[in-house]
Amino acid sequence: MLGLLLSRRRFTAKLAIALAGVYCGLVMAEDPKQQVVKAAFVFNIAKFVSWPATNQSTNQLRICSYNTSPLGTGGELLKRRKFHGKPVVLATLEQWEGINRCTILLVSADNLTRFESDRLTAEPKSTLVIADFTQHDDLAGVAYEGVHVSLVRKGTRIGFEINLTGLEESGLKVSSELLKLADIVERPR
Amino acid sequence: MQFFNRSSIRKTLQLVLLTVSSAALLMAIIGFAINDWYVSKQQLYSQLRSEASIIANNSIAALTFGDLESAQRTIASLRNENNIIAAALYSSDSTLFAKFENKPGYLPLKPLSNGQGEYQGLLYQQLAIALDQDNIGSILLLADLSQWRHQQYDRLLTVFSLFILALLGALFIASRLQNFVTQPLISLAKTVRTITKSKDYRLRAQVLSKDEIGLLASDFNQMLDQIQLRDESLRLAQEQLEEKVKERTQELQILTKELQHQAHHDALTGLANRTHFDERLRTSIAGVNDTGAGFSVMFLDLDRFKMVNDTLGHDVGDALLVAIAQRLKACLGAEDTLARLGGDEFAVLLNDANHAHTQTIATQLLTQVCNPVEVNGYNLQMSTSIGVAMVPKDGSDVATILKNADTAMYHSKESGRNRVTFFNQDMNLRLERRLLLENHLRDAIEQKQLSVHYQAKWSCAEHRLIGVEALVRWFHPTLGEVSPEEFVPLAEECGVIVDIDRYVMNYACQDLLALHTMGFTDLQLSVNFSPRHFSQPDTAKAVAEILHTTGFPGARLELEITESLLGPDTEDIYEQLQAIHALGVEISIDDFGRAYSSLSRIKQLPLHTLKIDRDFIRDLGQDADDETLVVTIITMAHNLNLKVVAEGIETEAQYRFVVENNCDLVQGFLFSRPVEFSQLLGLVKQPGAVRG
Repeated sequence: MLGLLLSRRRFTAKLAIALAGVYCGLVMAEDPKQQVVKAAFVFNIAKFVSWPATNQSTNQLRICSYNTSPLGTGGELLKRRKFHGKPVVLATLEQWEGINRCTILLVSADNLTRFESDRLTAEPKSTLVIADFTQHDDLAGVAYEGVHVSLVRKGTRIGFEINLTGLEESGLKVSSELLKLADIVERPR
Repeated sequence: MQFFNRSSIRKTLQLVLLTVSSAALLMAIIGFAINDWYVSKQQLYSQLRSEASIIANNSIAALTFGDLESAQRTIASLRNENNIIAAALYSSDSTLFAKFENKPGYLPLKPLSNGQGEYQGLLYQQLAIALDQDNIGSILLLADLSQWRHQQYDRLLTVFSLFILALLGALFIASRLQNFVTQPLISLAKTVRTITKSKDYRLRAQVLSKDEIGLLASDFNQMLDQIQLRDESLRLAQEQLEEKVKERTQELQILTKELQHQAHHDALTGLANRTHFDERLRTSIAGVNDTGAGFSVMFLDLDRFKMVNDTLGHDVGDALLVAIAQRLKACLGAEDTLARLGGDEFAVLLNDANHAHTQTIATQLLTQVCNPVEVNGYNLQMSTSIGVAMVPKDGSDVATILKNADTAMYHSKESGRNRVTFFNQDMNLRLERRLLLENHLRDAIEQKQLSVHYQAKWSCAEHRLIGVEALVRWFHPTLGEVSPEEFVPLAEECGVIVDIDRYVMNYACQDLLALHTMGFTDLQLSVNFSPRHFSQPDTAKAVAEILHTTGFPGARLELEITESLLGPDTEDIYEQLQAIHALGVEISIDDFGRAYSSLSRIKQLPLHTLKIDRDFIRDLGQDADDETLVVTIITMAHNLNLKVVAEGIETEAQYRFVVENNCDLVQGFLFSRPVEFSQLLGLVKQPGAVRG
């Protein structure tokens, strides 16, 4: 596994294999391997998203974790990657005010409520918000205010749901290719 | 190349046009086909690339997130592409991720090298798939070539069909186009053939174009112009040559005729010559042998013609011969042949064996010749002697016949001339005698068979003997006494006369000198001196020598020369006479009146005496003409200070006539016959005969 991390190519290849189902049976327990898969998902989803020019983090991909990082140690892998030539920076959002400096905000299912309340004070501008529901199947299937993409468990695999309305509101655009693979969710009425 | 040499230009041109056009077409077609092959293949690749690219783009997310389903869905969209055999998506680790197969069994488990090419008889196109500069896999498309190949074969077939069509079209156009080139050539060749066949160089080639062939036709026509000109000049030259040849031939024919005529005719008289006469004679002899019909041959010799020639010149002689020839011819028939055999000799071939008729003709000939002839102002009277041989009686070959006729003619001469004699065998005896005499005559001097007789000359005025004429006599031991009338002409002819004359002169000088010593010192000696002496340069010297050896005084010697010496060409004779005259010797003209002497010549020469021919003396008292002539001669001689001697005085009447007419001297039987020296002594011793 360490060897695979030596290069991006190897990493991506391994990631693909993992997606093909090597770890399919490991979703139930949050082990480091699953965290690596989730980190890869986050990184790859980012590749299909385009940020508006107003995003402040133009010279880096700043991945912020809300309170606690759902990626665990998997996030460390991303630090060695480049995103469109820019460095990848991992950070923890401790003060809500710093939200606009984050390119991506990772929100675990445990922090969802808090996130919802915080964002009421200051709505983040052009920050892609990815929630991790892989340990909480009950949260899947609906859209949450302020959450753009939700990582969910799909049988043995990890899938993702996209909140199109939320994306539109935040000015982010997602590639149709990504939409083709994702489940579109909406807020309950 | 040999093929082209053997083929016609028409075919060659067609072939060339066809080859060029088909080569061009073929190259174009091959070019297009290759291009089409290449372009269509590139199109195929391009299409594959596009399709691969679309699939790749649509599979990025599926590959990124390992969504096999989505990848399968995307790749399955190729099912409607007929040419796609199979397609596959490979992960970045070269494992087969998703595939689509129209025909199974072709896809490789591992990706091929990126790019395009052929794989297992199929076209392949493989593209790498990348996301944000990361290689996330590759896509491979395998396409069927058979459709493309069919398409290409169809196209090739179409193009080949078009090529065949174009070739046929080119053939058609070539067959039309070559006319522009070959038509003028064919026309030119046809003209050349026609000219070669007909040899009619007036024909001209038609100039159908302005190109090289047109130039060739023009040049050919110019060449024909030249040939025609040359032909014309050749024709003219040939005509001129033929004309010249014709002229020359005519000239040659005329010349040949002339030469033939000359060969057979006498140049002076135009009569047949001896050759011609001999031929005619041979022909007639052959006729005699065949048919038995005889003929006669006459031989004519003009009497004393030589004297005419010598005294009046050859011009007169020639003119006389021509005149006489015309007269003779007038007497003869067309069948008869008259020929001049040479000199004054004529011959007649009468196609008649009748003796009497021949006699008549011969007499006519005699008469005609006797008629006086007017030539160059001279009135000449001639006569001829004729001998006749009758064939076959008198001979059967040319030589014999002519010899016998000649013998008969000599007989006429000897018989006194101006007569006709028919040959008889006795005449040959006379001829034989003549030959005999001629042979003996040459030895006569050496063998001392000659002797000298003397005939006295009497002075009319003084009636006494004042001189003698020495006359030669020949006594042969076996032949006996030979008459001088017989042997002297013979000696003249064979040239012995000079020796005889000198012998006689020497002999007589000695005799007369004896008389002189006896006291008869003024006795004159006359010696006959033949004209033959004057053809020798030492005549005067010989005379002087005789005078010197004998001691006889030249003043008492007289040489009697004949009148014939006084002809026109006598310049050297004059000198010789002068030389003799310088010795004191007197010169007398013997037989004066027989020939034709010019008075001016007589006046020029150193002469002393004229001796009237005995023929004139003989008829004195009978012929008035002769009497007149004698008187005239005497008068003329005296006027020229010449003495006159009348010889042949035989009668008193003759003597009286000459004396009455003042003749100076006489000689003849009336006074004395020629006598031997011993008898002469008796004569001179007669009282009053010679002054002592």
